[in-house]
Amino acid sequence: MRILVVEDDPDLLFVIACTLREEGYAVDTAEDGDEGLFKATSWDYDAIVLDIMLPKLDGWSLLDRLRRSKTVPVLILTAKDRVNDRVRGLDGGADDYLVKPFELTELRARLRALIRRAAGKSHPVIDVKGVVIDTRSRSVTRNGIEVELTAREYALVELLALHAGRLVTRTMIYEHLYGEDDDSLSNLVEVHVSNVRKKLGREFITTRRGHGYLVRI
Amino acid sequence: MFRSIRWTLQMWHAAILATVLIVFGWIVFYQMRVTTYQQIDAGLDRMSDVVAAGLRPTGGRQRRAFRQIDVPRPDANVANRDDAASKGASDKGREKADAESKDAAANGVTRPAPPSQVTQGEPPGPPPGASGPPGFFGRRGPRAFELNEDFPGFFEEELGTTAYFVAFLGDGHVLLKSTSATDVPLPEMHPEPRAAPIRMVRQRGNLREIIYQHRFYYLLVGRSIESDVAALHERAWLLAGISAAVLAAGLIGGFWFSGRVIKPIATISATAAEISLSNLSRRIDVSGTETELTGLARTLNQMIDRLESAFSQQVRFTADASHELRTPLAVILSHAELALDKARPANELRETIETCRRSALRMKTVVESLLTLARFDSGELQLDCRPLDLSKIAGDCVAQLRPLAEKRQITIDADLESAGALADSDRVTQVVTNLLTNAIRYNHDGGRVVVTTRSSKGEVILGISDTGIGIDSEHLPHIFERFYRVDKARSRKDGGIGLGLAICKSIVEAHGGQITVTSRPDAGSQFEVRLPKRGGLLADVVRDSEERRLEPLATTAKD
Repeated sequence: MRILVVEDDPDLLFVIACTLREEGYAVDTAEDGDEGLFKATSWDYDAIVLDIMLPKLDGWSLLDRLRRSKTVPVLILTAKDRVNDRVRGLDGGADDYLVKPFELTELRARLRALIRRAAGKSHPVIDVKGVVIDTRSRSVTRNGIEVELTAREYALVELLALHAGRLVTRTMIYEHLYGEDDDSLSNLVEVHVSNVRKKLGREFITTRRGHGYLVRI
Repeated sequence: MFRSIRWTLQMWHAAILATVLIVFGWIVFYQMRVTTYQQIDAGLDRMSDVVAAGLRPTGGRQRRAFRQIDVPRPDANVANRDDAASKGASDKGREKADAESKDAAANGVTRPAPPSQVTQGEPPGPPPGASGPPGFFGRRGPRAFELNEDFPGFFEEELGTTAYFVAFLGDGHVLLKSTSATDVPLPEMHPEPRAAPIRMVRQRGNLREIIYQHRFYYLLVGRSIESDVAALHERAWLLAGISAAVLAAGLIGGFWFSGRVIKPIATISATAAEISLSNLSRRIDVSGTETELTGLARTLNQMIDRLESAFSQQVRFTADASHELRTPLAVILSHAELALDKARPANELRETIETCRRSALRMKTVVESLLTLARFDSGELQLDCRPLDLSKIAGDCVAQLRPLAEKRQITIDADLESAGALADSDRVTQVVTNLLTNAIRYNHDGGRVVVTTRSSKGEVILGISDTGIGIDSEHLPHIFERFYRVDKARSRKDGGIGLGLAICKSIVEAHGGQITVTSRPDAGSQFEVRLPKRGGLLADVVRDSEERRLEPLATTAKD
C-alpha cells in the first residue's frame, strides 16, 4: 500500500513517514500544498495523510482540487480541534480527521480502516480460500498456521486480497507497493509474486498474462 | 428614569397644539364679539338716523304729519310735574341757579345762593333780562318741536318691538318715545353743552342702548341683543367644539405618526439585542428611505463589523496559538511513540531525544511569547521605566549581532545620536534585537543594514533599514499582526512563529510610542520606532532623582 504524507513540519513529517514505512507502507512525502497536490494527482495512492496548515497551498484548497479527479481516501491531520473545523474537513471531502497531538497507533488504525473501506472490504480480516489475512496485525495464516512474509510480500498479498476477484495490473502493483524513493530495479514484481506462491501455494495468485494478477475468491 | 420619546413628543405636541388652538380660538372669538357689537351698534346708529329724520324742531318746513309740540317750560309746569320731571326740575333749578350765578359772576353782582334743594312748587324764577327760559342746548334752546306722530308706529313696523327709542331733553322731559320703550331709565345728562358730541353706549342686561346728542335733544336708541348674544355664544361653542375636535384629531394623528417614527427604533433595539457572540454576523436592516434612524443603524452595523473583525482576530489568534503548540507536541509524542515501539539503536534514540528537545524549546518560545502578549493585553505587565540612552542600546545590539551578519557578509552601519528617554531597558532591547535580527535574516548575502538613533522634540527615534527582500504591499498592513507570517515555510525553518513584530508593537505602544514600516519587494524594508521621552502608558512612578538625572542626558542631545 502506498501512502502520501503532506505535512510542513519536517520533524513531524519524518516521524509519520518513518512509522508508516515500518508498517510496511510505501510512503511518499510532500512539505507544501503545491508539491502535495502534484503528487496526489500524479499517482494513485491508497491513502493520503494531509495537514491543513500548509504553505503555498492550504489543505482545504488542496483537498478541493484533489476531489475533482481522485477518490483516494484522505485523513486530515491538524491542530484545529473545534467542531466546525472537523465538520468542514469531513464535508470538504476528507474521510477522516485526526487532531494533533495524536497517538501513532490511532493514526495507523485509522489508515487501515480507510484503505480497507476503499477496497470495499469492511472486515479487517480477509479470508481467501483458507488463507486468512489479518490487516490489523499484518499477519497471514494458511490453514491456521502463520506464514512468515516480508513486508513487501505482505503488501502484495494484502493488495491482491483487498481486490480479491478483481484484476490487479502490474502498474497498480508498482504504484501501490513502491514509493518514489524506492529503487525499482531490485524489487521486481515477479520476484515477489513467485515468493508468495512458494509460501502460500501456486493457486493463490492467478496470472493474467499481459494484464496482471488476481486472487480468486 | 425612562421617559418614552413618544410620550414626550405627544405631550409637547398636545401642549403646543392646545396652546395654539386656545390662542387662536380666543382671538377669533374676540374678533367675532367685537364685530358683533360693532354691527349691533351700527344698527343702532342707523336706527337713530331713522328716528332723527322723523323728529325735528320747528322752524323748518312744516310737514303735515308733524304735530306741533310746545315743550312746556320748566317754570310753567310746576304743578304738573311727574317724578321724572321733578328730578328734571331740580336739575333745571340747578341749571338756573348755576346760570344765575354765572351771570352774576359775569356781571360782578353777587346774588344770594339759591336754596340747595329745590322743592316742588318753588321754582326759582327766571332772572330778569334773560333772553329766554334756560334750555337744553344753551339758554336759547328751542322748546318747540315737530313730531311725526306716525313715526313710532312706523318705527316699530320697520324695526320690530325689540327696538325702542326715547327722545328727551336734558331736563328729563320726554319728547317722544316708542311704545316698546317702557321703563327706560333716562340717564342723567349734563345740562351744559359739551364741546364734543356725545355718543354714549349703555348696556342694561340684554338691552343695548346708545344715547346720541342731537342738536336740540338727546336720543336714546336701544334694543334687545339677546338673540345676537345667543348667536355669538353659539358660534363660540361651535368654535370651541371644532378646536377640541382638531386637538383630538391632531393628538390621534400625532400618536399614530410618532408610533410609526418610533417603530424603527424598536426594530433596531430588537435586532441589536439578538446580535451576540454566537451570531455576530447579523446586521440591522437599513433598507427603505434614508432617515436619521437608517443612519444610526448603518453606524451600528459598522460598529458590529469592527467588533466581528476584532473577535475573529481573537479567534484566529487562539487557533494559530494552539496550532503552534500542538505541532511540537505532536512531534514529541510521535517520536517518543516510535522510539518505544521496538528496540532501537542508540543513535536513533539519540536523534529522537534531540528532536524532542528541539520541539520542547520551540514550545517554550511560543509559550513565553504568548504569555508576554497576554500580559500586555491585560495590562498586567508593568514597564520598568528608567532613564536610558537609546543609542547605547542600539550600539550593544549591533555589536552582539554583527557576527551573525558577517556570516553572510552583511554590513551593519550604525549612525547613533545620543537619545535619552524614560523607558524599560530590557523591553527596548528586545525590540531593537528583534528588528535587527529581521534585518539580517531577510537580507541578501552581502547586503547592508543601517541603524540610526535620533533625538527629536519630545521623542526619540530608532531607524533600522535593510537592503533585503522587502515586503509586498499586500502583506505590509498585516505584518504586525500576531502569527502573521509572509512566508510560512521560510520562517518555520528559521524558528519564527510570527510573533516577533507583534511583540515589538505591543512594547512600543505600551510606552506610548509608535512603530511604522515602509517597504518594497526586493528594495528592502525600513522600520521606524518612535518613543516619547517621558515614558509611556504603563510607566511606573519614577523617583524624583531619576527624573533629575534625565535632564543632563537631554541637554547632551542635539535638540
